[in-house]
Amino acid sequence: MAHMSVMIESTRSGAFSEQELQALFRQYLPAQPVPPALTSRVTSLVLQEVETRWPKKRPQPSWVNGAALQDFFYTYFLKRR
Amino acid sequence: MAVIETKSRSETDLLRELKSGDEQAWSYLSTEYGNRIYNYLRHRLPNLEDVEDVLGETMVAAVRAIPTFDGNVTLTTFLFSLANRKIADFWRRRQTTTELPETLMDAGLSSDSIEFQEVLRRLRPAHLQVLLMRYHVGLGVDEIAKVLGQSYKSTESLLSRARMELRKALDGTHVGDD
Repeated sequence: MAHMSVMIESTRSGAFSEQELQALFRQYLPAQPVPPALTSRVTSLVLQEVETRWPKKRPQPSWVNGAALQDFFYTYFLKRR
Repeated sequence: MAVIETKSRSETDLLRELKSGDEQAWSYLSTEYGNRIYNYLRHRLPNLEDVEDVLGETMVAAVRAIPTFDGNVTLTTFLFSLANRKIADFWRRRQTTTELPETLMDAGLSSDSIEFQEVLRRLRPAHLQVLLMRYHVGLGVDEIAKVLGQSYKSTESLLSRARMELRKALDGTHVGDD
């Protein structure tokens, strides 16, 4: 704390410099980690909203797709004509 | 100089993933960027329940707004703009913009830290806002200008006035006199 005292004393005459303010905030207003439970709740809220905005497509059964149907009709109907 | 850093990851890639609804990208955003917003909100709102609500509202607003976000500002600027809007909504709901009624003091803080936080709370809200964004969160002046929708010049002069007010407020305290 002695360092801060000297620093503040040194600029009594005017506003703080950028470096002084950075040091002041780092020293007296340290960043706090987000509580893990809060992170989980917020992430879950976000993912719910993501699910609403970008709904997951249901996987199609492998046998129901355009190419397979085309093959089927070609093989069993068109080709037999 | 950023005090609360986010882990490096290409913003262009991240934005592309967010816009496609990639869940991993959204989890990453809420964890990494949420940390900076959380630290900002802690000093703008009365208690942790409010911080949690507004943080959630901000991140959900981001999900809703990202499809139309054109990437002309950084994701940090985008998120802080949303956070500031949500803070304004919060105080509008409370119908007051007066001093914060409670404090979010952390256990184990030094008496200087507590006094410093009390000094900050006595500053004009606009001054507190820019000081927190600049020196606590570590945003650049250009980013703050975009968040506030002001020019670089006027943001610089707002910061200058805020520094002056803080200087005067601290002169009457014992912060740093241990």
